[in-house]
Amino acid sequence: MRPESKTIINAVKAYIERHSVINADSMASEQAFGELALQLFQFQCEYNSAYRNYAKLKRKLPNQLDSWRDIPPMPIQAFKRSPLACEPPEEAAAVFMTSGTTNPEQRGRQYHPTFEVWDASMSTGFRSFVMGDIGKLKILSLSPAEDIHTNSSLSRYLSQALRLFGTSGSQSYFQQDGLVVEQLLDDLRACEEQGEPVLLLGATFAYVPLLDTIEKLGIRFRLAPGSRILDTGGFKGKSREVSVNWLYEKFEQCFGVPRTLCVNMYGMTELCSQYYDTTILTGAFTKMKLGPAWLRPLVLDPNTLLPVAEGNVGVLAHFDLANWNSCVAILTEDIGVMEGGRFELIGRIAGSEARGCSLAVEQFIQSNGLQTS
Amino acid sequence: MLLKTKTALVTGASRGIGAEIAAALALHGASVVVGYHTRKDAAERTVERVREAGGRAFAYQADVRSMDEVTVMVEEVVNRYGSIDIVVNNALSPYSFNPAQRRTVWEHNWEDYQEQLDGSLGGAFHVCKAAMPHLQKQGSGRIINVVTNLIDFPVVPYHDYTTAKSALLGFTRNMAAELGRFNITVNALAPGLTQGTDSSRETREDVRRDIVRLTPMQRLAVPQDIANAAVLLASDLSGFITGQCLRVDGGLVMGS
Amino acid sequence: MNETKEITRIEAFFLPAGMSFETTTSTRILTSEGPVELLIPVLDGEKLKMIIANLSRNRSDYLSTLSTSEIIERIAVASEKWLNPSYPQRVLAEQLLPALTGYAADSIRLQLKRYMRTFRRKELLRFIGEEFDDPLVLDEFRPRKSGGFSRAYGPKLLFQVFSGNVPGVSLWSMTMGLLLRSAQLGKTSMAEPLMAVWFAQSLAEVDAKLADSIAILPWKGGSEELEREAIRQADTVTVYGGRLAVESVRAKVPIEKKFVAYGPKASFAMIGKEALTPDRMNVTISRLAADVAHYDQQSCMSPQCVYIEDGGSIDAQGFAALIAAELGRLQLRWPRASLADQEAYAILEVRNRYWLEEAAGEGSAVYASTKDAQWTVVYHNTPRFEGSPLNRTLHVYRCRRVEDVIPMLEPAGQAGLLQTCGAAIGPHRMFALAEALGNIGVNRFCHIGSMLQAKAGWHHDGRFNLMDLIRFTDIERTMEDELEQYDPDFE
Repeated sequence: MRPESKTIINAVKAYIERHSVINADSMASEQAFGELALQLFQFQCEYNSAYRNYAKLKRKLPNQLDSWRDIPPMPIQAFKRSPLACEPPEEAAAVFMTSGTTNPEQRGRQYHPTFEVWDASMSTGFRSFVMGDIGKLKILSLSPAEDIHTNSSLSRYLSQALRLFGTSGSQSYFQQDGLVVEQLLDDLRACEEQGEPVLLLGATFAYVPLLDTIEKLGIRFRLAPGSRILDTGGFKGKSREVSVNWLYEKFEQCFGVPRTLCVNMYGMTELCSQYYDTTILTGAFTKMKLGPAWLRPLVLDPNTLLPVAEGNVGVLAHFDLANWNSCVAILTEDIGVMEGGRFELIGRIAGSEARGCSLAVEQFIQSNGLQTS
Repeated sequence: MLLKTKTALVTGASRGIGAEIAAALALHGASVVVGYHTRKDAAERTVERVREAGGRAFAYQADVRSMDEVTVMVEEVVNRYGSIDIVVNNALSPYSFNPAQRRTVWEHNWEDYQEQLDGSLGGAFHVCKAAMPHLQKQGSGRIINVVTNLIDFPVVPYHDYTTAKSALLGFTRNMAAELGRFNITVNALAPGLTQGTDSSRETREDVRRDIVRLTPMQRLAVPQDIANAAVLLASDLSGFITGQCLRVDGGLVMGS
Repeated sequence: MNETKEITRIEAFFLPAGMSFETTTSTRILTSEGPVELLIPVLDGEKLKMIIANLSRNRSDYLSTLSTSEIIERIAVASEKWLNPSYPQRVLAEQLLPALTGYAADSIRLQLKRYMRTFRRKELLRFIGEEFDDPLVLDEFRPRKSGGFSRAYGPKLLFQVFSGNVPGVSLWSMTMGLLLRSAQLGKTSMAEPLMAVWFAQSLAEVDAKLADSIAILPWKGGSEELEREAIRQADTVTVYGGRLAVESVRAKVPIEKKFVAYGPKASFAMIGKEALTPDRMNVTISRLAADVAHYDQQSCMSPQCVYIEDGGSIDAQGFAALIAAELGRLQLRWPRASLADQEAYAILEVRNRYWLEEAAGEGSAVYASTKDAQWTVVYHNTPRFEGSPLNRTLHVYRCRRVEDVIPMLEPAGQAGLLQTCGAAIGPHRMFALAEALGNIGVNRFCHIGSMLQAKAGWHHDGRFNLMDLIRFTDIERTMEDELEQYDPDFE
């Protein structure tokens, strides 16, 4: 690893360290954030040629910027096209890939030469937003950990959670052939009987069939006070879609976990940090997502790619200092709205929903597999 | 700050009017490339001056009479700064401005004219040709060719120099006609006799007095005057001005 | 000072004389002359039944008694009124359509002028003459070349579902209905519900009883009760619109009724090197840019992409740069409508995709408006066919010769997607290229600059216009001979 990378890693780790206490009101100095973001961007323009070429095209090279908000967010499609990395990809300790269902060759990739920063970011965020005052909990994961999926950021997330915050006996119940439901339910019952609070972790879509099963079996749990549930990600076509209300009502009914102890996490392969809603942090239910001090969202007008006024809907961009190896700013395909530094996820940019004539052509091209890119 | 996020290439910018233009563009926020041929030290001083004022610049050596050297220079500008938006063609073949020692027209050979054409016109041609694809791609651009008010009023007939500058004006107008539809403006800047530059050093008091007497603003130009006009032509303010010859001489010459 | 301008209320519907219904107002439109609200009738199945009964009665009492020639006369006089700048409906159209549709006022004014000229008497005659050797066949039994007689009958009740993307398309449909002496019920789109109403008013000014066989009504698409009633009563249904609109109506029309659809189509342009000489290239570019800019590319005849041949004074990428600059200038003259979120996302997606390709040096180049997504031109160094998200987004493909591109267009042509090819080529290439394009299903070949102005009599979507709506009754040749025997005087 080049010395410049080590310097950057240390700078980011120090920043995370300095802002490790997260509370609902802490808004780290924008200036400090901006300085480090611009430093990262300069570093990335030097060593990540794909990002540099994109920035040059957008006329947003370091010398052309006024502030960190001007850093051009890299469209996440870019993560599928070529390695976005400052350190040689082949030397990376690991690569995380998006869960692309269609073409495996077209999966977004994020390379991790080291997990120092990723781990620091994850654990600091998790501690504040999920664990709160509690040091460790019995953790049960519905989704696969690292041993099953080696290239999944979620899997590492779950494994780290188990490792750092789980009491003995914590484990993932997703094994080679899928979720071992029976064992999970047995263990939950045991915890319930012993009055041991638990933390359930899983992808949102993983909860739906489990809740359906619990309903079908006609069983209920009244998990010990302090038990909490984390869900993340959308449905991705892997389960039927349910509303947030349905989900949290079921959590209450089936597990006895109140809404105020349910937290949703927003993360992606293309980011190294995670957002959470502040429900557990503040004790009040909300869908608004907050990031740690090294992670900031912007909502951009699709017409201009400039930030919209607060309260207006637009495309979400994220500035993540932990993304030191790839791109400090990314442009998602998510639509959101911001308020007071937090954002709410509204939906996704659906495929080109242009009017009549154009849509027909798009559909024709897709259905005939003529799209070349 | 009229030129934020813009990149400017100024040839012949190591000293005199060129250096002043480079400094002024940088003061208005442009990233500036100080083109020079031989005077590296002077060019570096100009760069230093820009940096001390908080601006961005670097010096680049090239002979504008060579297409190859110019091509490489423009590529380097675009590589370093991401774009090229403003081109100021100020370079010329070395010339001695001396009213007492100049050649009369019957003493000139064609080679003298050729040499000046190669510098003033050829240099501008090469730079414009190299920069043009970039300007066309970005759908905007500013080309400023430095001529002289001597083309209208040869108060001292520097035949070869002024003829070449006249050709540069014709070049300017034709380019303006063809490039306007790409949102590229091409204008000429015609300084009058400017004190503190090579072109005025040997001009004696009597000639100066004659010129000042005929100048409505009653003085000679200083380099800053020329630089200010260059900033105007480089900025978005002059977005609908093209093919013009802007005389910056306190009004000595008026009309077309 | 807070000056409250009085709100103008405009009827967004047309009914036979003597009918009136309770109305509600639609959302307010802000125009240059002040706020306007549209009045929309409150309808249900019963009311619609009454309206249709009225239309049918008026048709049989009056419209069916007119000759084709008399109808042509009335349509021509009605449309001639629109050629007068101070005609009230025209003034309203120039004021309201820009506010309603978002299209630039100056562009609408220009296009409207051009469009209304296509309804003059000579054009209508041309239109009919195109499909009928003997136009009188619409009025009476006419002798056929093969012996016997034939007569054409139009629908008794025509139910038309209009789209709203290009103002005024409905007028041709209404004209056809009139020429065929059909009672017609036109359902307009709330995106543009007024042109059809104003045209009906113009007709009423000329001949009120004629106009009484027309009803123009807006209701939300998918209002089951109303649509089913209209379809139940009509014998012919026409639909203009995208795939969803067409399919949703088609599903409700029983097989015995005539169903005519004008579904989604894509058009493109081809530029030969002959049009790229130093003296021609600039006008070529400005013509094509106008075709892209009008109606913000929303017409089926708007070019979604253009193929540029090698060998001109300007190469395809230079062409892309120039047409981008021209679109930038047209933005000043005919500003593009502001976009719905989804439309903006669609354009952003295309820009992102090709910016990344360009950054990777893969042969694309994006020319995008800098401040706003008002226009986008994407250059590709190899040709293919892909649609554009419209709203002034143009793909520019480099090709060796435009004829080379035909195989790439063939699949789309076979799927019935292609409509107009606008071209600028040397005259000696016209027939060969027309042949190749016709072969793959392109149905209109015209000059660039005229892509949006189809001439009267063109085969819309490659089909007949009136012919699609009529049926014939033949008197067989042998019958007239044989019947003679029943004439006592015959020997």
